[in-house]
Amino acid sequence: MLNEARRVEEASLLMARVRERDAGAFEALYDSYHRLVYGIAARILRDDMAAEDVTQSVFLKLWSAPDAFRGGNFGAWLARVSRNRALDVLRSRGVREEGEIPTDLPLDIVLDELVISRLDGARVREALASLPLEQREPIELGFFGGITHEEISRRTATPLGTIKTRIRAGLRRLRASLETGMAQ
Amino acid sequence: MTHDDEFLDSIAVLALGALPAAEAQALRAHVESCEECMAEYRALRGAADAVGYDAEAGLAELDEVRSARIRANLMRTIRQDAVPSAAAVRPAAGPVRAAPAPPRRQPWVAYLAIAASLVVALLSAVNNVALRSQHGADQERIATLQQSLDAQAKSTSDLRNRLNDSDARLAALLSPAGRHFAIPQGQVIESGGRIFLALHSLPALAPNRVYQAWTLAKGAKSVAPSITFRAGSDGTALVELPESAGNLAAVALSVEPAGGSRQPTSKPSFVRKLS
Repeated sequence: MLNEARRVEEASLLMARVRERDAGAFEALYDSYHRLVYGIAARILRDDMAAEDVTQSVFLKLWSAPDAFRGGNFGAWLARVSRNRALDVLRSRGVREEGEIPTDLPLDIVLDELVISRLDGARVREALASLPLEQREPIELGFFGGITHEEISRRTATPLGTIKTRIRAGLRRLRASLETGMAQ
Repeated sequence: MTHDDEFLDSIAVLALGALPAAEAQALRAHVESCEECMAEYRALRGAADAVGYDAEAGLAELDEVRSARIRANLMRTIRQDAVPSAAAVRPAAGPVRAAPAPPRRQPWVAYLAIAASLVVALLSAVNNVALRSQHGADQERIATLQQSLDAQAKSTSDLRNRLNDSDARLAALLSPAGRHFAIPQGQVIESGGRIFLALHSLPALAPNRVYQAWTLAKGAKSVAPSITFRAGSDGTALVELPESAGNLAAVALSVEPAGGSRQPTSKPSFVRKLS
């Protein structure tokens, strides 16, 4: 398993070099993060070729607009960028029948880094698995399913208010779990 | 301003990115101007972003050919825009100095001296160019070797990661704690939170068709699309689904057009409850 803390530190340095058009730094970022980007795209799109296109598109964007990353946890930021790009592809297909694809509107802030300064797939998977199913399911559907909370409510036959409450409780618990993991 | 829980619940959905566009825009405008909501948003957005890492952990495999193809395409594109390497930027050679003019001599002596100087200068310039060319070639060879070493180091690191992942998958597959569900073409195996399909006797498909797995989440009323794959030449396939096993009530398999479908378009080869 890669040392994620080191990955995070290196990523910020590498992004600084990417801003100076350093192809080697870009290549190093690709090597560290392409599985994350591809994994998110593949899970959302269920299509290997489309996931490959999204991976390429996300990394090209990284190269052409490196200032979009304003600091903080690079991997978490990249995860969200990848999700949004995959959702764009879903929208462009125009085949969604069951409802609107949600809109992600990140605010213009550098996020609290406490919870996300040390991340890796295994730790997040473990933290997610520790959530009760009723909290984990709407969070996973919301992030990877490309559906709104209303559609989550319909699919799980659960009142909308309950879904929202479970998402909040789940995210709080996930944060606490990841923070606990950091302290260990 | 103090908000009730229902309002703060909506902030959580915003942080997850699961609000419809109109609702998201309205809430965003409020969050940007409200300290309490911004604090709630910041606290939850980090956790929501972390969810993406589950996909990296759940990625069964990203084959080397695909990974290398993406990398090659990217590097071909970005190198056009990259800052040239130090080897490519070399200072220009200084001017070749002419020999100092001799004191007054006979014209033919002067012409001879000038001609000799020109020959010397020409030879020197040719020699200089050859040396610079050799130096450039050496620098490029060094850069190529360095790239090759870097690539080998990365390849070794990738291989180590894949082996670790393979070990984890193998351990899950062979774990006595795993549950095996028989199907006509093999088994569905649930172990360590992972779900595998171990299949045999799969008919060969036309190039424009793939096998696609489907999952039914607990409490869900319809199946969701999962991974697509092709069987080996011997009709076997061993695939890990990206979904967490604990969340699933059933798994199914059907033949679909290449690229997969949003809903099954053919009769499933099997539908297996995980209980």
